[in-house]
Amino acid sequence: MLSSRGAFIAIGGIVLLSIGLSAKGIGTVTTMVPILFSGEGLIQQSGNQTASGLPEGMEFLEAFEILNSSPIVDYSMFLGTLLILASVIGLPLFRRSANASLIRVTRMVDREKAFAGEYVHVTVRVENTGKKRMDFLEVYDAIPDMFEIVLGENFIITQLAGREAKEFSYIIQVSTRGVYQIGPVKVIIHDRLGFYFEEDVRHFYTEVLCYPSYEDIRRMEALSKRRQQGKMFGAHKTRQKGMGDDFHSLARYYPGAPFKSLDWKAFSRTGELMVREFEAEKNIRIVLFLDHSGSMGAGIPYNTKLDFAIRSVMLVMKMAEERQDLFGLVTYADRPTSFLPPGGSKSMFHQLLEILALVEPEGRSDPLAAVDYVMQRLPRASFYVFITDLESSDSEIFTEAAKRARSTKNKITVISPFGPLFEAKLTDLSTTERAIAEAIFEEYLGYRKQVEDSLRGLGVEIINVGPDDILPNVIKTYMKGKQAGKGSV
Amino acid sequence: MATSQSAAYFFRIIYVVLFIFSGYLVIASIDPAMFDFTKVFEILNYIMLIVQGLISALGGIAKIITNSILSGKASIPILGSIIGDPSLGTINVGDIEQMLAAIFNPSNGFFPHSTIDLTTVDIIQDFSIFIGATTILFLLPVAFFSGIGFLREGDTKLAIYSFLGFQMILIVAIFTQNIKISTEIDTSSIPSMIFSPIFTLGFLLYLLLEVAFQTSYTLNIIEPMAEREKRIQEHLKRIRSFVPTEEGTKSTEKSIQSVQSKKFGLLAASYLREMVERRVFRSGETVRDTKSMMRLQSYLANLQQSDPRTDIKLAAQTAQPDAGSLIKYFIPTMIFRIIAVVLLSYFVMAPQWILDLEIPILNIKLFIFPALLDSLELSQPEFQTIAIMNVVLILILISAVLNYLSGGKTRTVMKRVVQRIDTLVDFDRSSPQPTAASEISDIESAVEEEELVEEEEEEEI
Repeated sequence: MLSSRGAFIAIGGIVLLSIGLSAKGIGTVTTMVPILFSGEGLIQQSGNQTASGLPEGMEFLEAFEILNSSPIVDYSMFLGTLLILASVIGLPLFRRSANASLIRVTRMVDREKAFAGEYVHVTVRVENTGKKRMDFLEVYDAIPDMFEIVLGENFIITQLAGREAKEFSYIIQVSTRGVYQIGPVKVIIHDRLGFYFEEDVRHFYTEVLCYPSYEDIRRMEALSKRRQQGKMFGAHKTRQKGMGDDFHSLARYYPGAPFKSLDWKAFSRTGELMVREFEAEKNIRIVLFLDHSGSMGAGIPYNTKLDFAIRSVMLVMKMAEERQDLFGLVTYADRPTSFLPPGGSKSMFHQLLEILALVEPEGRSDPLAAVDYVMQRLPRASFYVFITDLESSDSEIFTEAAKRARSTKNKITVISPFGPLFEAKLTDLSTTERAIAEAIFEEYLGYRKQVEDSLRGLGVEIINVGPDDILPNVIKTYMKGKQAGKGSV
Repeated sequence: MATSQSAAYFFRIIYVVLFIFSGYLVIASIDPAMFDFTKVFEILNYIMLIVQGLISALGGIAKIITNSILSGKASIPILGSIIGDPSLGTINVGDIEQMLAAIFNPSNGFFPHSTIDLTTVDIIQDFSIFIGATTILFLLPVAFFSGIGFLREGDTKLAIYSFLGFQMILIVAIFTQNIKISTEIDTSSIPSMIFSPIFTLGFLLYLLLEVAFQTSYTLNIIEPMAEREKRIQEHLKRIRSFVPTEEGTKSTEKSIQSVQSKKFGLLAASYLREMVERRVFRSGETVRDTKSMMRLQSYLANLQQSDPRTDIKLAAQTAQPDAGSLIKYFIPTMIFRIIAVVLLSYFVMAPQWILDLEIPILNIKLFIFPALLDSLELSQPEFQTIAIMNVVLILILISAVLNYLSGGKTRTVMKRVVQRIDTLVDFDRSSPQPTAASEISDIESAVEEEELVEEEEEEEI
């Protein structure tokens, strides 16, 4: 209620009053001493009195006699009184007009969903619903640490007349995916002199859902536009012999081969009956298993294994959507946390974005539970791509999960972000740190080798990746899988 | 904005006028003896003399003690012969005499005022002038420079330092009886109290502080907002007029070319890899800055299209206070405060009149404390303290009551709103939901509706 400034004035007043009272008290002592010592016995004991009336040996009190004269006492008392009164005199008026509950604050955002790196315009309206004037008003709109104000300010210092409203706005940039809350709002009312204040925190929030960055996809799209070959069945179609239109190769004639497939030019050239084979135009069904266990959260902030994994998922999903493949997503930690069954609609991509925006690293990893969950809901053979660091689960569990998946002819590839590569750059480390890092590196590698050995027999490919090559490898895996017809529809 | 700035200048001018006037009055009220700075150096010499004497005396005492101790042990004469000092073990009176002579020798040249005859020094008078002169020497520049600093920076701390500086000078002048004006506050009537020179001076200094706070308020509320508006307008201008630089364009092209030169199979992958490297190793800033600036540019253009008031909101132009109202409210507020403070000060310093106050019509006294009225204690500082405590408590009580009353209407309406919500059976789901509004705001809007209904009802009645 009393601000530091008001308190300073009041305390100053109290100090001055105390000085006045003390001076008066000390002054009184100099008056009292001669009276006390004027008794006969005392005079006999203390000897003669001095000219000032003070006993011998107490002349030093003469110096304090000045305090007994009223000016210093009076002035201290007057100034003390003045300061104390000045610090409280405006209080009734302030209490009458400053009612923070009469301030209405509303917040509007131009969008509640945005991609990381995009901008959000936040408008705050402050209204004085009362009739009294608010002379000095501060309104602060709290924003999460992840947001960066790129233009404007998230506070206002103003005055508001009765029934008056003022607006201010600011533009924030959301840096990373997640659900964020803008708020609360703090309202502080001061008096004109800054002696008093009233503070109120309004706990109302605006939720902003931030999707993972669209930057990768945007670049990809720009690239596709230049190449004009990145979509549909161009360079990335399934290279399987079948009933397609594109020529695949020439083969020797075999009994039963369709007569129309005979290549007469090749026959005239080679003297042998040759048939033309074509590429099959097949789409694949790809299911991405995204591990978001606690260990996936390791790495440089905003560039963790999980962040890279999410970017990879987005890219693959976007590519799959463009190539009309069926794509699905499972996120899992110690249990499956979300499942998007394979499909190819545009709306699916938005569902996927929402899932990815909310994924947080937590718990341990149980790929077996995830595989079971998917297999119960998706009986058809698919191309399973796991993005997991293989650190939060035992190798046996993963082996068992792979066995189960293989039992229904699912094809499996594991993209495994290699922990140490995400946490530190070896070139940035000192010699000792590098030695320790290399030791850790070796240990991780040993464990990974063990898992690889146990999975190799099951035909599961494991690709170890770092931050530099995770995206290319995920795309490559998808391309290879498509070309090989893994999980063909 | 210009008008807001003029309000800031208005308050600054008032502060300057008051500052110069109060400063002049303070200096004019002080005895010129306090400006005798030579006394400062003289007293410092005394102090140095005393310190040196003390140190020498301590050294002498140490030597005497050492000799005494050793003389006990050096009754064994061998020790003296071993050390080679035959005087060891004896108290040398000559040494002590020599030491004292060295300390008080007027021609030792150590002190510039070495001819001081300590017996003729009026230490109390000199010391009081010393205190006064020292105070002036140090606090007067502090008071002046803090005041000037306040005018430049608008920081209230500086105004407080200035106030404290002047007050300390005045207090010291009173304490050392180096003040020219009458120090007596005549409390026989309000005008006589106001026109008591010391009261006027003290009050003027306080007024200076209060004007400083008012000025600070104006500066705090106007200048940051004006600066913010200017800054944001500049940012907006810069963003809108942004054209990608040659360097940025070049680097963008380069990266694209490097991509085009790659084979189709891993083309996308390599390109992404390149991009990731840039992000991980923080290179290619220019390209990214250019891109984000261009994106912001287009975002702002869209915002402006959808809401033409975007610039005004971003620059918080509407938040700029009205300069006229700042000045308009300053004068009555100040007058009210001055009158209230003077009246209450009078009550505290001379409580007789209120204790002796008679209600005119009823012809009875407000308080019947004859013993207190006759008491000498009434004019004592202790009673002033008690009186001020009462005044403060009464003011706090009044504030609490007013606060309760001002919140009363809101509470009543809130109660009604809550009751009304309780009686609702179906919520109208089809009504549009606010995208971002507080629950409090919702309730408040309901409160406002209720208030409007009330007003309408009152009008009908």
